[in-house]
Amino acid sequence: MRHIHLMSIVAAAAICVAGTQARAQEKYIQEPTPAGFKTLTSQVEGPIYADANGRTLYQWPRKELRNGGTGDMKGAASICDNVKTTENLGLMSPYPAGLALPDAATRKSCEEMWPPAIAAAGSQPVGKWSIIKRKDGRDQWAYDGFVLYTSVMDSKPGQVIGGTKLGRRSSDPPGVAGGDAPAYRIPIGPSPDIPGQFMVEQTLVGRQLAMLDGMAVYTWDRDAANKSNCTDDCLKTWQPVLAPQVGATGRDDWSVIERSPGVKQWAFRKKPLYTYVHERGPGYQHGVDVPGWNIVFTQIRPAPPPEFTTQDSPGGVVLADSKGKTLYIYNCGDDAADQLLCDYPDSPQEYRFAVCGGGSSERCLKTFPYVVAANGGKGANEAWSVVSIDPVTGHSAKPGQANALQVWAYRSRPVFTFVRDDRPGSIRAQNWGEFYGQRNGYKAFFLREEFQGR
Amino acid sequence: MTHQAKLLTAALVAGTCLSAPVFAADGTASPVPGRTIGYVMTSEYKAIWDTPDGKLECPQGINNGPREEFKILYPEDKKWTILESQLERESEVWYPTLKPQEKLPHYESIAKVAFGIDLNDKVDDNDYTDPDGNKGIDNQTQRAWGCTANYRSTSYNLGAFNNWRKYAYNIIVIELTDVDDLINDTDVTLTTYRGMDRPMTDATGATYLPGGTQRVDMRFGKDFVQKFKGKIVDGVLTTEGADYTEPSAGGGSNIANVRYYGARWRLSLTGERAQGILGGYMDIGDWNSAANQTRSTHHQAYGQAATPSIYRALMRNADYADPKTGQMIAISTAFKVGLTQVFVQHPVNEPAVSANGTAPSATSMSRD
Repeated sequence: MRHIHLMSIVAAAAICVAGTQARAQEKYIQEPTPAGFKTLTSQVEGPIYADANGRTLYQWPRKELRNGGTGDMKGAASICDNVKTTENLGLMSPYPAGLALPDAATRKSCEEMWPPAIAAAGSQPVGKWSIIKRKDGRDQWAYDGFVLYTSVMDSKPGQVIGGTKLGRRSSDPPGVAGGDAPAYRIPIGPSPDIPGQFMVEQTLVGRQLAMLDGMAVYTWDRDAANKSNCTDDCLKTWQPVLAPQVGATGRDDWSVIERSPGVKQWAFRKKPLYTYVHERGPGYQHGVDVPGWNIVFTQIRPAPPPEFTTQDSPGGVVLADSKGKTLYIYNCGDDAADQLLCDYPDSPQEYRFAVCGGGSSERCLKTFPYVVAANGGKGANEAWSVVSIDPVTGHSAKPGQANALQVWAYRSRPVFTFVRDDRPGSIRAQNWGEFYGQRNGYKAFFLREEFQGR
Repeated sequence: MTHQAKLLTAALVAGTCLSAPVFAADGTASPVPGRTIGYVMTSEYKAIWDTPDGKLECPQGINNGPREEFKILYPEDKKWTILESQLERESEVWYPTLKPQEKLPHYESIAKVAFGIDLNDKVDDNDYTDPDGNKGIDNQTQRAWGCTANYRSTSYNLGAFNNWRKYAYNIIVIELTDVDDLINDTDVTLTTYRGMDRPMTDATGATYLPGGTQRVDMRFGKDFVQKFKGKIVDGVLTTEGADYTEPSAGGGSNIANVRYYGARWRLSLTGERAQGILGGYMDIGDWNSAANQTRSTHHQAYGQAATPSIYRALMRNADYADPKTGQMIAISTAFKVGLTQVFVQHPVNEPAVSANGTAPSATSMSRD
């Protein structure tokens, strides 16, 4: 048990650090919005824009896939209309176009799944907000040139189920992230109020502060409020993040300290900031393995259920169930022009059944079992919930259904373990499925992914 | 100049110029400072023997890939659903059937020659002779892979496979300890690690240079620590067999591992380089997962590699049984490997493995 215990401590340390910032929320740049629109702070996604009813607003930027692209062009009318799609488009090689979709008979239209944010008569553009006429003649709000939608997946104000900024940096232009993943919908929000040397990256732990080139920034437990104690030998390993001589004030959460005459250093929430000299490169966070040093978040995500554990794996730190088995998230984007979701219980399950069970839901239950919530859902929050699943169909169970499973879900999507993971930290189903588990497959729930994109 | 003298001269030059290990100049021995020398793997190719046009070893031709097989199975004269075509193929990728597929022939190499190592110290009927005339070579992947474009020496993917060694997840470091003499030593230990640093190159980036440093990953890389016993004869290291897990990422987060049972190394050593063969019985289930986890079907199609058909061929030629169940689970294979000398930096309190010790335990690791 010592092995598991130690690993848990190491991994938990990173989460603990985040925990100290649990109540903090990301500060953002205020900008004018259309009448009635509001800025909400999602615990999961950070600051987001919502319509007058509190429904999160999404963009769908065009993305080039393997055999062409889909999504909205900047400044152009929406391509998400009220036509029901019945065939695939062959966007994700090597499979051809013209194949009938699994839900062709019951499928909703793009517009039904992604209602457009319609501008009321007399609405006027303001700031980055503009109005673009839809093909049906109605006016649709756009932000930064991309038309906006709400999602039928979001059932209450401030909820962000329809899309994510995950893996995106605040410095990314729309439509660039995701590799061989589908053309995702992305919740929009105001830019973080941070100095130009920095960016915020969305991760599964929180919104992580980093240098603009992707290098992690750190704080040190031995520093005092707005005072660095890192001198002499400490400076051989830790490099203060220097601040400009002028124009470095005026932001909440940010201050500048003077290390020595004329040498100024950034501090975030009164903690001086550093980079780690031995960092391998952008995206790594090896500095957290040095006791007392922490990576920095503008805000963190809600904590996982207390029954879960963290484990060291060959690819980094993963979230695991109470027995140490790695958790996996299933990802799916269908190959149609409207790229509707297929990784939720109430979307078609045929895709998932193909890769988890060779088409058999029964085999799926053995190979990629759900994570049953044993404690009645204690620890549920904005990110984690218990959902009721029909184990045969994979869809949501009917009320009172006798054989329903009560399982943990992350943002309404069940999490799974993998039968061949034979010890804590094993991640043998990482990338299981098409296009590395991005288009139809599984990815491990990494809290610290050591090798992403490197 | 004898082969031994050449090696010594090269090693001496390396030691002088690059602070690599220093070797005796009297031609009688090649002591290694600290009795330890490390290398980082800088190339790894599937060791397939082939001819330029393939007519000799693949008289029936080169195998079809995913696109070609899809067209055979789902001709355009019918309207297909995703469920009965694309998802049927995706199912087959992850749960391949062992039933012979008449419509999908998979041609096997009939070459009589193969690269590799004698993994079981026996000369069996199915064994090959290598190009140097060594008999008893165990490399049944020569048959299963030999007529698939992806794995042949003319493959587009050959370069890609080689590049895999550059990915951070895949950095393999070997460390030889208890080395009294790099030319002849009857008892040395080879330990594998995952390295944490990019291999050092010249300014072009094309040539790997000896003398770099590799920190070993004793936190996330524990799975890749493996010890082999071996001996050095006339500058060639051969090891005994041991099970070995190799990091096999296809880039970025496309990570996977493959287990090799009874793996062995045969390496020609100098103070600057090591090159030779890594052989072993490859876990076929691991291969199937890793092949598809690290390369999408789209990417497999570049090299006409239809993994369900290849899986069946690997299972047909499997020559290693699970000791517990008796079921065939692995197939003999070989890789041509190249390595470059590095200085291996262990975490504090984690010295190199000694002949009489064990690999460092996971519970005592510290990276401070």
